[in-house]
Amino acid sequence: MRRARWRRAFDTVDARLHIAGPVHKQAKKVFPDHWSFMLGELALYNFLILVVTGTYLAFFFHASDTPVAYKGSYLPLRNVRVSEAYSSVLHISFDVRGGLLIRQIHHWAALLFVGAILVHACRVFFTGAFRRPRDINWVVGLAMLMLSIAEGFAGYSLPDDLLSGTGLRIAYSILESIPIVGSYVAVFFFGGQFPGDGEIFTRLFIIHVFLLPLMLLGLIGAHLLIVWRQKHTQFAGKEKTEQNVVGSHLYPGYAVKSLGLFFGVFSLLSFLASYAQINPIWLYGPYDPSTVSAGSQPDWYMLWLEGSLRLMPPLSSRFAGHTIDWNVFFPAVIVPLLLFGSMLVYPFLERWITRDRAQHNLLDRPRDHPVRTAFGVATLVYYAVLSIAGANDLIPLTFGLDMMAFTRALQVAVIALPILSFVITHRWCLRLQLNEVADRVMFAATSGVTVTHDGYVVPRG
Amino acid sequence: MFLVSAAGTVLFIAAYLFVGRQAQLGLTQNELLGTGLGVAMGGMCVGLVLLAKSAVATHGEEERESHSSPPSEQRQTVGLLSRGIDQLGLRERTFLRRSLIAAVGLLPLPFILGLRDLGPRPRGILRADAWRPELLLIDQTSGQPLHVGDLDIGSITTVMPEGSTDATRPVAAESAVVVIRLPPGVNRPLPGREDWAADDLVAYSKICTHAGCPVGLYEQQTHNLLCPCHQSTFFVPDGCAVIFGPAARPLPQLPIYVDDRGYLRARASFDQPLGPSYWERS
Repeated sequence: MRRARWRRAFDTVDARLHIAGPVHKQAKKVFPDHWSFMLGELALYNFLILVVTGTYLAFFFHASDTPVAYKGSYLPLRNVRVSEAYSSVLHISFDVRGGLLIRQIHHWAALLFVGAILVHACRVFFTGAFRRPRDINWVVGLAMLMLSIAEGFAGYSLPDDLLSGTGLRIAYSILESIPIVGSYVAVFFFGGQFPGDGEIFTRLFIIHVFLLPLMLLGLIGAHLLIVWRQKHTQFAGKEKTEQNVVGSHLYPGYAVKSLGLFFGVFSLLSFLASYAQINPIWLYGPYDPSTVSAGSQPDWYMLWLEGSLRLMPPLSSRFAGHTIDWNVFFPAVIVPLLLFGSMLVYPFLERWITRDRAQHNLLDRPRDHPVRTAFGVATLVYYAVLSIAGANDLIPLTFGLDMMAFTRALQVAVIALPILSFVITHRWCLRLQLNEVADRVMFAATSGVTVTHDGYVVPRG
Repeated sequence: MFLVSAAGTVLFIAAYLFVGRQAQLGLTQNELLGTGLGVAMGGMCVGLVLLAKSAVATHGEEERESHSSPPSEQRQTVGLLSRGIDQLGLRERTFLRRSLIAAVGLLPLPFILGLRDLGPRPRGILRADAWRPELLLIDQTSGQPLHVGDLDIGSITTVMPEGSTDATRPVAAESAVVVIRLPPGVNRPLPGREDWAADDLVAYSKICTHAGCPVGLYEQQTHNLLCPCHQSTFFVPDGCAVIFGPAARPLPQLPIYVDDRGYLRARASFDQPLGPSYWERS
C-alpha cells in the first residue's frame, strides 16, 4: 500500500516532466568513498550557509556612510557619531535577537569557505586531478577561489569599522599604484578621492550581495555539471580502473552522508559563532582615516597579500614626470598575478612539457610525480611565508623578538625556503619511490609473491 | 540523536523568547542561541551519518563513457554548424559578414562609456589637501586650536586644518597631521627647512607614503614614527626619513609657526602631494 502511495506521488510529477528514467539513472550514480572528496562539498555547504545568513543580515544592514548618532543599547558608543552602516551592524549585533549569532556564523563561514576551496584545490593539484579532461574544471575552480577572496574582502569592508576602513584605504592605494591607469581606477571605484562620498558602500554592497555571489553561483553550477558529466576521479586500487568508478550510490547512502556533512558544518559554525568571538567591530570603533590601532590584521585569506606588502623593500622610480611605487605595485599587483597566473597555466604547462595528452581518470600519488609535488609544496611554502609576514608585528611581539630582524629574516626566507622546500620535496618523493621498490623486492624474495605498483599482491611467475 | 537535535531547537526557541537581551550586552543570549542551533544541527549530523553507516552497504560500480564523442558524430555536428553559416550566406557575402562583426564589436561601447561617471576625473583632485597658509592647527581630540604650551616634550598629537576637521570626508582625510614636541636640540632641519619647526614642535603628514595608513605610533626614546599597517619606520629628527620598512619617501613636512597669541598655524601649504604615490605624481 505504501508503495502505491509513492507511485501516485511520483506520477504527479512524472506525468508533467517524464523523469523516471533520468531519476533512476542519477540515483544510482556512483561516488568514490575517499574522504578527500568531501572538501569540495565542504566549500559548497559553506556557500549555502553564507547565502542564507547573508540574506538575513541584508534585511537589517544599511550600506550608507551618512553620519548618525548611535542610539542603540551598546552603551560605550551611545551618542557617538558613526556612519549609518556601522550603526546598523551594531544594531544587528546588540538589538536583533540572534543577530550577533548570524553575523558571527556568516563571518566564520566566510573564513571556512575560502579555506575549504584552498584545501580542495591542493587535493586536486597534488593528485593530478587537474589533468585532461578536468583541466577545464581546474580553471573554473581557480576563478571561484579568486572570486571568493574578493567576495570575502568586500563583505569584510562593509561594516565601516576601523579595521575594515584601514583595509579599504590600503586597497585604494593598491589600485592607485597601477601605472598609467591607476588613479582613474581608484577614483572611479571609490567615486572620488578616498574615501569618496559614500558611493563605495553602495558599490561594495551590490558587489558583495549580488554581483560576486551571482558569478560564484554560476561557476558553482558549471563546476558541478562538469563533475557530474565527467564523473569523479578515483585512486587506483582493487577493481578501480580508468574505465570505471567504484564507490557508493548517490541514493540513499551518499546523499544521507552528504546531508550529514551539511549539518555538521552548520553545527560547527554555530558553536564557533557562540563561543569564538569574531570581528567585534564595537571594540574596533568606527572608521576614521586619521586613526588606526596597532596590530591591525586582515582576515587570514588576505594575510599573504598583507605580508607581501610588508616584506617588499622600498623601491620607487621616477622618470619623465611620473612615479611608479614598486613597493606597492609589485607585492600587491604583480605577485598575485604571478601566483594565480602560474596556478592557471600549470595544467597546460605540465601537459606541454610531459607531452601527456591522454585522458586521465585515475589519480596520481604525489610521490610518483616529484617535480609537480615539489612545485606545489614550494608554492605553498611561499604562500605560508607571506602569510606569516602579514603578522610581522604580532609574532615578534608575542615571542619577544626584534621586529626588524624578524622581517629581514623573512625577506630571506621568502626566496630561500621555496627553493629549499622544492629540493627537499623532490628528493623525498624519489626516496619514497626507491624505498617502495626495495620493499617490493624484499617482499617478493621472501614470500614468493610480487606487489605491483598499485599495491596488488600477485603470485610470482 | 534526532531527539538531541529536537532538544537543541527547543533550546534555541526558549533562548530567543525568554532570555533578556540586556544580560551582558546580549552575549549570553548569543551563547544560548548558538548552543541550541549547534546542538540542533549537530544532532542531525551525527544521526544522519550513523543512519548512512547502518544502512546495508551497497557497493556501487559504474562504467565510464569516453570523454569525447565518436569521430563520426563530431564530423556530423561540425558539418551541421558550418552548413548553417553557408545557409545564412555569410561566407560569400564578405561585406555583410564584416559589417556584422564590426557592429557586434561596437555594441559593448555604450556600456563601457557609461562607466565614465563612476567618478570624477582624477587630475586636479588627486591628493588635494586642505592645508593653506595661516590656517590654525586644530587638535583632533579636543577640537580646539593647538597652543604652543599644549604639548610636553616627547608627546604627540593629531591635528586637522581649521575648517576641515572631519577626517572621514575626502580631502580632509588626506590632511591629518601629527605634531610632535622633540627635546631641545634634537631636531636637525633639512637645508631650506630651517624655519619650518616652531619651538621644537615639528608637524608631519600623518598619511604614510607607502599605502596611506595613518602613521600613529611614536617611540619617545628613539624618536621613531611607526606605521602600524606595514611597519614603515620614520626617524623624526631627520625630516622623517625612512629608516625601515616598505615606504620609499619621507613623510612630507608642514611648515608651522606660533602666532602672537601662542597658537600654531601653518606657515605654508605642503610642498608635495601627500600619501602614497600614483602615476601622475612627478
